[in-house]
Amino acid sequence: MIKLATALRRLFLGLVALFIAAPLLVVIGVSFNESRRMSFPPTVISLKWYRAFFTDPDWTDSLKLSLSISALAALVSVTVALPIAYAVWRYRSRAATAMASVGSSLFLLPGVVTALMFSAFWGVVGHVGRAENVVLSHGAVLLGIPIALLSVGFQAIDRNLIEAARTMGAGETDAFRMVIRPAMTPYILCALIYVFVLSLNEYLIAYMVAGFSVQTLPIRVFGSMRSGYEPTLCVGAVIFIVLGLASFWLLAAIGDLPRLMGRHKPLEA
Amino acid sequence: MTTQRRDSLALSVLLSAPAVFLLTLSVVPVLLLLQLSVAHHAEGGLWSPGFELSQYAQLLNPEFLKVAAFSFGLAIVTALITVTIAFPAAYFITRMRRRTQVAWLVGLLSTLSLSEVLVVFAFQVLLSGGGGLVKALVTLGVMAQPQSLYPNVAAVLVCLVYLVLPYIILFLYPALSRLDDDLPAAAATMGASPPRIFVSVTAPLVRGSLFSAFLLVIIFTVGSYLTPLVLGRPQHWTIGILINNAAMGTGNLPLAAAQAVALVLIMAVLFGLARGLGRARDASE
Amino acid sequence: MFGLEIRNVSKAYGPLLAVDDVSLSIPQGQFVCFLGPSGCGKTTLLRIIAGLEPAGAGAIVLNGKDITTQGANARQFGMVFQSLALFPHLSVCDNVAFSLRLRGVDQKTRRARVDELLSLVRLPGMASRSISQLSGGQRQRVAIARALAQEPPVFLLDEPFSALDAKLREEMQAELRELQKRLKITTILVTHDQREAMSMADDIAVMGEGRIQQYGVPLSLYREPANRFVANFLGLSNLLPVEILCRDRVRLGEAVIAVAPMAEPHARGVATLSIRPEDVLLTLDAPDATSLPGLILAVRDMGSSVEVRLDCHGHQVLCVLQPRDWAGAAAGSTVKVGFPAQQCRVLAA
Repeated sequence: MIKLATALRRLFLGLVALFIAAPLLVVIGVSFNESRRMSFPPTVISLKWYRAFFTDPDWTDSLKLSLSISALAALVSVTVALPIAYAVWRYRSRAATAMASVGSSLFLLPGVVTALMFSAFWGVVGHVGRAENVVLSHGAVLLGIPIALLSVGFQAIDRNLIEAARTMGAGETDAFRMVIRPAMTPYILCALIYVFVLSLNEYLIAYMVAGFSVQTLPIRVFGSMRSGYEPTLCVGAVIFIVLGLASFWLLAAIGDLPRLMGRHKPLEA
Repeated sequence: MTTQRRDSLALSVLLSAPAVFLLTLSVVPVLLLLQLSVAHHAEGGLWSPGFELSQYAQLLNPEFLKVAAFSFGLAIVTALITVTIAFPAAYFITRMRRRTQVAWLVGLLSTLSLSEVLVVFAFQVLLSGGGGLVKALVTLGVMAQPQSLYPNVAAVLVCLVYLVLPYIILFLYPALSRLDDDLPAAAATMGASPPRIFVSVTAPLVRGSLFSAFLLVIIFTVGSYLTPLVLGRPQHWTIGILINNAAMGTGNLPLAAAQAVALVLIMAVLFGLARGLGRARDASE
Repeated sequence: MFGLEIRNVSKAYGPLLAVDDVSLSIPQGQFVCFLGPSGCGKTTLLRIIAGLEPAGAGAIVLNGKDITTQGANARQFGMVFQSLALFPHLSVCDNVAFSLRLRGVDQKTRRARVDELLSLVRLPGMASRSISQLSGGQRQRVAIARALAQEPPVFLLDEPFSALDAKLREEMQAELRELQKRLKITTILVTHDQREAMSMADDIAVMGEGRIQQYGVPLSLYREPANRFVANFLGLSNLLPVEILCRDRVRLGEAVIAVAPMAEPHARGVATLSIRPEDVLLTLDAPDATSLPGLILAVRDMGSSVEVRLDCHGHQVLCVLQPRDWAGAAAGSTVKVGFPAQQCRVLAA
């Protein structure tokens, strides 16, 4: 009875894992395919399309552009979220709590709605088709993520730690520098990585806000998909997969991933 | 200086810059969208501020209503399938050893962050005549000859489930990790069978989270754009595609805005109804 | 005055008076326990003394200087928190040296001081450990060493031992008491554990409902509780409703009981008779004791003592006696119960 349950559980988890991995494996496989045809499994293994990708300035420019847009969007988003989350925790401020819910609300709207919103917004502002539009729009839409993660981080700090520091002569800034900042570093890094990866992969907002002139990697991948298949786009896809995996492995190495994802009880090794 | 004065000074220093950011980049765009939906549409992608309901009147045609109904139907079916898979998966993951758990979390986070563009493309490859799945099916004799598995509704559905599954597993993760293992154990000592325990102990404890997960899938999928566009046929198009076409194709921003507002309003009404039903049921129990 | 003075301190949270006009003066070098049930205001009072909570009214005076408006970081009273509040990201050494670093003490002096403190709390050679590697008792000692590092004028401890198991708790209590005597540092310890307070304090302040109910030497509080609250909280007491007849006579139901002469003239009327369970006698030949017939309801033999639950005139009376004084009688039998006059105290109803 117990054995059967275990076997069923393993089968179920195996199928879920296969479902999650299958499309990725296919793309990775095709990217190593010698042939121009989109077929899987690859018949002849080759790095031809990787060479093509990295020697085509169109693709490498898109990659560089995407990386810088995402890095800046992550920086913007976390910079805005940090004081809000700190004020909610430290001062139990109502204004900050209200700001946290306003900031998180855009993330809960369908992507096509926020995309339209920002496309209209930048049109009215008269600042169309610029990369910084994408940075700020992503920063605003993804704000819910750093707010949530940083709040978890602040809540994990024992308030007694601050009071203990004060009884030992620490002022407000000393306490922040010596107690709060070290405790928050993993959460801040986590928020940065999370927003970075989501921004890197976002298509619709980037397209509707600046798609005509700013070719981020997802926009170029989609364009290349629509205008006829080209194996280099598989390489673009593989780069995304590798970047995502690497970022989150890094995160798991820096911080306690189960805790960051909201686990309460500590987990033994 | 009193503590209160000092605190309010610190707060204003902390919050003024974020307040400006939120005002310009969250509040103003939302208000703009609302204004746009009642603005006057002129030819050539232009619009002028005003107040008219002609765009909303346009939404009442059967064509839009059919697309809206299809979008929500698609979202609800996706939500049912996703939550059914995500709940046991998340439960099992929270009960794993740390190392395996971290590996699952990394995998889920990486897929969750993958661009819809890439996922759609990957499914296109996987489901195409030359893709692995078709070859496997032919070899197994399930399929007579290689034949593309898209475009159709099933392909759209599978891809949508794929897109939201990691979100929902990670969403359920905290609630399920908090679940006290002693409770099912206590029920077992009182003679409850595993299915009985699940129905009468585990499920009620996480009902709220499951419900929220269900709503979250609907939020994520009801406005889907790329997936139905690439993997579906025109009759499987969703509001997301209509909004995009109105905005980018015909340049009728007011119509797109009205459609977007209508989408959010329908969502809000549905969620309100669902919450009301849930509360009524709780009250009757 | 040399020492710590608390003058008419009050603190309200909304309509709730957490601390209600408390005054107390603690001479330099005393060990005082604030003892009381949870919610009695003892932790709030401690936090006001530390400067973590502003006093609503009143003043805190240290060695004659009013420090009411100073924040915790200016007072620098060393404090051990209930959760210990050790910094998880710092090593033992960095935790202990935290206050020294804030004062800009150089690394070499810091290190020497840390070693000195760690050997004082009997943790030599543990400086480079991380907090997560320590046991409960070791963490306790680090917290104490850290609070003492700044040589605080007053040392505050908020239920520091509540998380330890019984045996370790008693060890730590003895050690802390010994350390305090050696350093001659003014110390306030908050606890709800009367054994802890009795065994450690020079003076105990029993707190209830935001007020100090009684302040004094442990044994005098135990022997002569000022009111029902103290009688009941500090050890167990039989509290019986009586009527005052005269200066040394009360009536319990039909029976008249001789009591210790009351100091101030009590108004006639209803009062409470308090007697410790160990003072109740179950022998017949007790001189100077009122005897009442009692029905044995239950007997619990604990090995080192025997607890007998009795019914006297419809009131439950608990009697605790040594096994050698216990003649042995079954529940349901009737015995004579003696109330020695000197141990019978009359309190306000």
